[in-house]
Amino acid sequence: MTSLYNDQLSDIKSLGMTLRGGDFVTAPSETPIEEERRADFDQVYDDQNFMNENVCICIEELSNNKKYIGDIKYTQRLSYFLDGSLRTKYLGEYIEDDRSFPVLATEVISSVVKREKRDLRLEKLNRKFVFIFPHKEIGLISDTLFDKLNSLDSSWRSRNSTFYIEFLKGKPERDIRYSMQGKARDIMHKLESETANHLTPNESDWLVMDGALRKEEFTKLEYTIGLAKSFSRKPSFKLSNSTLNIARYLSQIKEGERTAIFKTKADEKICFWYIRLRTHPPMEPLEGVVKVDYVHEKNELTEEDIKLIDELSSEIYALRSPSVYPHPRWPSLIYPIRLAEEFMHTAFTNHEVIGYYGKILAKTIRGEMS
Amino acid sequence: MKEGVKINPFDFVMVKHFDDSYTVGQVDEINAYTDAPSHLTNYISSNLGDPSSTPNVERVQIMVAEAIVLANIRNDNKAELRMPVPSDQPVYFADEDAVSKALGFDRVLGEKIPAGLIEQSNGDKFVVYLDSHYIIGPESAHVNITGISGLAAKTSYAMFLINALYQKLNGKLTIIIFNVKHSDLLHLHEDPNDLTDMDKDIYKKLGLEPKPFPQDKINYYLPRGIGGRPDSDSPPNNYRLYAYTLSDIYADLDLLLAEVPDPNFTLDAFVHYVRDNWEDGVRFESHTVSNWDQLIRTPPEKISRVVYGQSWHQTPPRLIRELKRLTSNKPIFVDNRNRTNNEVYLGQAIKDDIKENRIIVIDIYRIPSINQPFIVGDVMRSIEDLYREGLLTNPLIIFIDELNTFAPNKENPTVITEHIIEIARKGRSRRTALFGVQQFKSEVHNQVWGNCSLHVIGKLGSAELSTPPYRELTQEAKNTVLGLQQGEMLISFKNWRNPIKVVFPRPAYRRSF
Repeated sequence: MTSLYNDQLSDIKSLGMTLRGGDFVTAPSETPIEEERRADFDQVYDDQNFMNENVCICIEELSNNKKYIGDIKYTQRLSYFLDGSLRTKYLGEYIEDDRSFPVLATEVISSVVKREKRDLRLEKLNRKFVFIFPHKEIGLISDTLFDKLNSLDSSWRSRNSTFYIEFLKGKPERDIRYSMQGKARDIMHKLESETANHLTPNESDWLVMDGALRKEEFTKLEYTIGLAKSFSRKPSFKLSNSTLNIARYLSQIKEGERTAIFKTKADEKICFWYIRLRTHPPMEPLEGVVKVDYVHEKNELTEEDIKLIDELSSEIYALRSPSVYPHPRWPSLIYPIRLAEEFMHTAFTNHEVIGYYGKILAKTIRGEMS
Repeated sequence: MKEGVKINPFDFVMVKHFDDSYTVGQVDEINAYTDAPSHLTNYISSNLGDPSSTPNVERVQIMVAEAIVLANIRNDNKAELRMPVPSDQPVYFADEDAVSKALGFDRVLGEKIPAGLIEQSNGDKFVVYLDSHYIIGPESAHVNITGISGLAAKTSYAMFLINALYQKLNGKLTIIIFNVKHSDLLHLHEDPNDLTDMDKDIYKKLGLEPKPFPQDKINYYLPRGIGGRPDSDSPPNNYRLYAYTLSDIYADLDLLLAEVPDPNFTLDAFVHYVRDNWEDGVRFESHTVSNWDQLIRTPPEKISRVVYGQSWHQTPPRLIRELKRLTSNKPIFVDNRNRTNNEVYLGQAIKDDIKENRIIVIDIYRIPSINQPFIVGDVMRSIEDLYREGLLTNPLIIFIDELNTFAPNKENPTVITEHIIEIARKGRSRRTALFGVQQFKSEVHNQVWGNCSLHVIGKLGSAELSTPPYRELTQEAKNTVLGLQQGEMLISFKNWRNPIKVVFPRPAYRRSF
């Protein structure tokens, strides 16, 4: 048995000892239940951009409102490809006197693939195994237990354990488990941000984040773009002679073409545009399209800005091969991002081990194991 | 595999196991995988079938080499560990010590006989040793070498191995060799004319001297030709002729008639009559027979009356026809009065010559194919006689090329095939080893190749490889056999769990081309 495994087992037992005194009702199956992915969160986040105002401002005039970028020569810039993923498990319900709350564990991973000419390799892979508890301000956990858990988290952090404890603050939106899942996603974005901050994108080595540049921290990263394969169906685009909804507009964009460049509102930090990577086989208008987020604070674009955007677009278009078929999102997924996903998926702790951790935790809490 | 590392089937690899032991394996199949789950994925990647399109980045790909476990090596004298190797252990090219232990070179009962060189893909070269006790008895015996004509270099390997045995056993054995091709094996005492520096280097690594067999230890027996001259291609300087009088082989007419169908054993009755009634000849009423000419002139009705007790029997006319076909106008069948001083009866000469250190070469190349089995059978019977008389005690190697001619894979074996099967069955304990060579092992009697402890396979065709004798080879091994070059062999030894690919040098004597 490896020392990593022994360390993790010892940490689980420490958590069990900390929780001893209450009752722990485990999830009703051999292995903890994986929390359902209830929506496409890239799309949900993008929807939030258009909650109040859905008409986007065009900051680039184009004849026909589109531009073919498939044959534009570009300098290779896109070097880092970052993605994050998580698996959240419901371990069980903790009951302490008249209080009770669910205990969730989430494993979050972020990975970066580095591209050097035509070769791809894993640049970085960060992971955390986080137990999520409600914060004492919600009132579901006693102050004593909260303090003990805080103290345990500090001890874990001091010796670089792979385990962490995080607390859900604020009033739960729907139910506590749903909010805890949201917390898990926040933890993942934070890890992505930490990972990105350790990279050094520069003029010749840009970073591509999977998904939108939705977090404030992401917008501070230089030489970075967000590449989303899922996006909101809500926006409309005010063009020179008409206003088109997204489906109508994107249905006019052919393979290798990009849209004009937009902002959701004036003075927004981020501008965005869409590129169609594929049209074949016949697909619905939003399929085969990626949305590119790019930090550009001004409301105008210089010729240099447009040249750069065109080259970046052409490079993204070129990355549609090798294809990742038959991945469900293959028409709009580029290979380096898929590879970053694959690195993460192989790094997740397997279900049997997590199931075993759950059993050890329950036994330790019940005093059946020390 | 680590980037840049090249590996091939039959390379030896090693990996650490529990208890400070290590496991040695041999690479079998190597496959390449990419993350493309189907051809359709690749079709889409190439811009929907455009052969000129080049993807912008390389797809991830891996090479996976499967290895066959040969042995687990321990230093604590405990039984080897048969557990699977733990995961994520680094695998290395095996070193010489590991290969040596995995193949049991450290547990040899007899003498270590070099059988070729292993060439690892990392450039390492190791000597492969055979245990003499498993080649010439008493643990097991016999060698079978197969391969297509010319390219496989079967005879070359056989002679290389025989030379290695002769050198390493300090000549403490007797070797009988049948030459079936031109003058291939008629100059074994002469210096080689085609050894390259690479061959000499291999000999050096194998610990062998690239020298021919000693001239004073070789006896060449050539068939008597017309006018008492040798009926051989490019005869050696010193030789003796062999020929057969009826009085030499009156008791072995069954060998001469071995290929003639005899479903009712009527020919057998004649053979027994001659054997039982010979006294400087045999009489059929008033007709006396003491030489070949008299035999084929015997009136059939006399044989009918004497042997079969009938005034007329259908067998004698057929018998006389067959005897004429087998012996008439054949200079090796002679009368006593025609025999010169240099001519011998081979069966007796063999009995006189089988001594330690001796190499006996019998040329049968120009002998008609209908008579060749008789000559081989007569030698086998002479050896059998020596055993029965307790006169053969030293190890003996009998090298027969085109073994399928003498021991074919037929339901009803001839008397000659039976002699060869007998050697294959009992040779181990008698310390007599049969070195058989043929193009197609599937055409040799299965009791002959089935008793061999060493199987050597040169380049072969796929049709032959699909036959039962090669059933134990993995598909990868078969693929390797299809691509073997001259000077490369796959050898499968009783003590090993998997065949090994070796290279070997050209034999160290003058060869004809």
